[in-house]
Amino acid sequence: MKKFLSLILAMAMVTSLAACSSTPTVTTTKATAAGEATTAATTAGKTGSGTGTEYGPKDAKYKVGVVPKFVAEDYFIAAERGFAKAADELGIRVTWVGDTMAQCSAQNQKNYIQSFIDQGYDAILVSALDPSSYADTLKEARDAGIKVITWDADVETDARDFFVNQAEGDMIAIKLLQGLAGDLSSYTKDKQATVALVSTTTDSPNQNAWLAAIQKEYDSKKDTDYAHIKLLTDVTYAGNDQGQADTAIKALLSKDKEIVGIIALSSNTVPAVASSREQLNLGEIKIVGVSVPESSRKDLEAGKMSAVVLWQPFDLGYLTLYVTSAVLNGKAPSGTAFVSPLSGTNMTTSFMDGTTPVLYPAEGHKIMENNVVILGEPIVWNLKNIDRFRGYPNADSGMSEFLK
Amino acid sequence: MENKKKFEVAKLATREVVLAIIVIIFIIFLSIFTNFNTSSGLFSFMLDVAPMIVGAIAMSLVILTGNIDISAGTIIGFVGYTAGSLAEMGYSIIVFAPAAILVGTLLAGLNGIISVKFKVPSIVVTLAMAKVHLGFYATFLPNAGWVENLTDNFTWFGFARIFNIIPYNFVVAVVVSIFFVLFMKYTKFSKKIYAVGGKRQAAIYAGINPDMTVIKTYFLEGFLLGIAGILLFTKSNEIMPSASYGREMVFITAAVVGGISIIGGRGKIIGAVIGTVLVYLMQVAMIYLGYQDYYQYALQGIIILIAVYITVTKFNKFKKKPAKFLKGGQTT
Amino acid sequence: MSKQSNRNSDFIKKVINYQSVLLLVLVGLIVFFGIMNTVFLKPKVIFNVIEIIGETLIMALPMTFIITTGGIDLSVGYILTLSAIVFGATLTSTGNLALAIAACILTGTAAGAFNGLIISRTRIPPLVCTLATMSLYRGIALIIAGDKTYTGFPDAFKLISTYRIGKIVPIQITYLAVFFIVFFILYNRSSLGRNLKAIGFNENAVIYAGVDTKKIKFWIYTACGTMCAMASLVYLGRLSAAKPSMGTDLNLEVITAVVLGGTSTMGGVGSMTGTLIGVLIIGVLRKGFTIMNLSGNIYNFVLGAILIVGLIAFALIEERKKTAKKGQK
Repeated sequence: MKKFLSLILAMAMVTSLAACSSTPTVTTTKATAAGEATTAATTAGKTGSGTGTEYGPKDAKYKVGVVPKFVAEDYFIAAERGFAKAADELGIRVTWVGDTMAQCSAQNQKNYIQSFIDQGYDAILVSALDPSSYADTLKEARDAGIKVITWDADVETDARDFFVNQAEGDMIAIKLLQGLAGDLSSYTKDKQATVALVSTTTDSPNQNAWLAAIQKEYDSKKDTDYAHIKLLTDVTYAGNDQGQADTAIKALLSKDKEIVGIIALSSNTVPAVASSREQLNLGEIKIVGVSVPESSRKDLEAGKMSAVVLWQPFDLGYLTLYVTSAVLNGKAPSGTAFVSPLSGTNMTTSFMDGTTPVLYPAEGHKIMENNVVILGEPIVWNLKNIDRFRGYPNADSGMSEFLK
Repeated sequence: MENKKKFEVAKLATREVVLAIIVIIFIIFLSIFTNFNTSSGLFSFMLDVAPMIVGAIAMSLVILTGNIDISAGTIIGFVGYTAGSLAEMGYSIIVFAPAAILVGTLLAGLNGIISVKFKVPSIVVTLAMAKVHLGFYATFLPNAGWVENLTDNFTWFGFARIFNIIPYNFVVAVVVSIFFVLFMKYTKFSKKIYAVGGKRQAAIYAGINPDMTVIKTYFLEGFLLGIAGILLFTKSNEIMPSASYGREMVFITAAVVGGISIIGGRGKIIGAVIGTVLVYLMQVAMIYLGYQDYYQYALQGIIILIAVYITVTKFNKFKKKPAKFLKGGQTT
Repeated sequence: MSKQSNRNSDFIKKVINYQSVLLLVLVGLIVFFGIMNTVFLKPKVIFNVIEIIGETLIMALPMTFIITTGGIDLSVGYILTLSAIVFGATLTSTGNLALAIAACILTGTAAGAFNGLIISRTRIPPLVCTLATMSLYRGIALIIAGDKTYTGFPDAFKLISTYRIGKIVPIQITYLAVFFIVFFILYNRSSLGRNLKAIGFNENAVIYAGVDTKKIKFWIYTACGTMCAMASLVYLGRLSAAKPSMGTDLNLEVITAVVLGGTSTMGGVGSMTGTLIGVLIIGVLRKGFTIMNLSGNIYNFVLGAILIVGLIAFALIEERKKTAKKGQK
């Protein structure tokens, strides 16, 4: 009797996996508005779900694995859609897999990278949480002939073939400071505006690079363009968690009543700053940040935020796959510029009037030293051009001007 | 005659009173040296601490029966998701709040039922359920349960205040605290909770059904977690359920610091409330004082150790020899 | 007739116990993942499972001791973090690998000893103590490291975790096997092991029998700390970067493995083999799902489900054992 029972239970345990074996075979056809060409997608999950997704034709010549920092978050959802679009156009099989923000870690990313090596993928595309944790694994991949291309966040230079960067870090810093300085133009040298810096965590390489660039930009023009700004040197770290961000920023604003401007890096800190300001009933605080414009739409509409700086993550994913395709086909980017279907087309429209087109340079995407391909210049987003943001919240958002 | 009077005075110096005094000193300290005492500082304090208090009370109930709930955080995540997605569809708080609270109640009750009916220790049941919840978000909920850009029909509750300073959230927390302090003092059910946590066999002899008591307590905990979730999420305009994983550690810490014994059967709800305030103050003190949160964790750990040490030793010493205690020189 | 059926039921009791069912599950999982994607069965890939569970197993072995006594240690993940940070800091500032390793092991041992001291000398329950020290060790790691990530470990060091014998078999097999055998012998064939189980059942009885339970408890927590430090070296060998945010998931993962393996949190009952199988199941699940290109959350869901079903099964089997014993009288 006991034996019987135990065997039944053993089978129950194993068959509980049948629940998950059904998810991989669910065919998802995107029931979105016409014009979205991802019906070719099959298997597990939907865009932004917490499981893996596959794009592109099943019998493609090349199989490419993409490991973002994390999934199910506006920025990466937009990027994922960019990859999907390019996958269909290029006829490359793309596997997109990652953990949610709360679960992500360099350790997990390494596991995904390793499994792509095991499965004999042709290329691995990583947006790295940590530049050195799995540099060895990536080198192992390259030794095995697998192409390694990083996007959005780089690893050690000798561990990858190319890095597709969204924009030059210095440019992001400059745009942020310029945007804020412009908004605070009512202040003067004698009555300076106190500006605070808010970042995510102490160990995120992108944010740290931007912080350094901001500091450098500020120092270089301290007495001229930014004479009316007093930039605080202490950085507040708000973490990746909304609750943590709220607490840290509330504490910051309660502590220093003089703050009238905030530069907030990364999507999570921006809404936290805006809501903290509201909760504490503080006066005008101009906030600029790096964030997905959609997430700040309410704040932009309510005037709590003047603008956000970002790029098109959709285009970043799209370009990365095109760079990958070039590398796989032996036509790796070289020289000073790399031409892709995006070159010469609409990046967005100007934030000044909302209609003047801003284009990607027709001569191609800039190539910098150490095999870095730059997508383009950072974009200033406000209500005037917010509808041009591609890939979020819907698959067809902002697609009207794509490739035109 | 003299000794009796001293004894009664000493009785007042219970753990909870000592805790309260520490909290008051802390607040005074913060008020002098930082901006804590401003209206904005106080407001944010009340807003943040409200859900923690309710969560700590929830956890305390379960701990008092000799159990624990490591999935409290992920349950709150579900509560938040339910509330958020209903609000997104346009329902008002009258609809989404009860629905979300119901979800919390059922989920926690499930933990209790599995633990009791299958005689599996609650620590591992809830540990496993937390994993199941986490996996569930990412697999079955769109965008792994992430809801953003919530509008006023959701967030007004978080920002509303009385007398322009006291948030509704805090009022709810205060009401819940008062209710449960009284509940645990005067109702029959509370006696059962203490009995089951203290000496289970004795409870059975007394005619109490420990299984039903534990299950009911879990349902009650879930109800409170539902309230805590509403209080927690209505103050921000986005919800990320998977980020709630680990929140239960704060509740457990608060309860333990407040004198709830982890073995069960001992402790007062008012202690849990004061403990929560203390833990919260610890967390933000560093930020208010201008330091990074590096020191916060280490400090927290040390304070928990000291607080618990006092619970387990002082209590016994006090019980055995009150007169000696009064003679002075006792610092623990 | 009764003698024959008794012999049968004895045999059944010996073979069909919880651990053998667990082994069946492990095999079943390997078969399942092999079917889902044959890449999984490639030797290089299957052996990768051993590489990824290295540190978990090293920490799960002393954790089995601890849970058998009815205790628990929630701080293991952060002891690992702290030891790793000390290693990184020492290596970066002195460049001396041996010194860094020594400092690392010393740190882990000290952390474990601190736990052991509190748990054995005061009445603070292990759950609460390690909940507090969890915060404390994490805090110390943060204070030491701040926002730094320590990298640049020498290649020779990384070989601890990355070397493969004959290019296929991971070196982990060697030292993991040694550790396991040592702990297995201590647990099942020594008086220490018997004492641990007895303490889990009824600590007072053991004290009355004249055994120094305080010393035993002190040493198992200290040993746990040492093992955590060694686990951190293995971890760093694979992940070559030490930063304060690592190790967070390991706390509960180690406990999950031990409990899944059939060691009861109420104390007194446990199995070292079960722990081994539990850790392997976790590894197989992780590796299997990533080969299927499914993210970590499916892994969480299934692991949680298996844990619950497993615990229910375990509880039922234990119930049966008790009533069977009663029946035999």
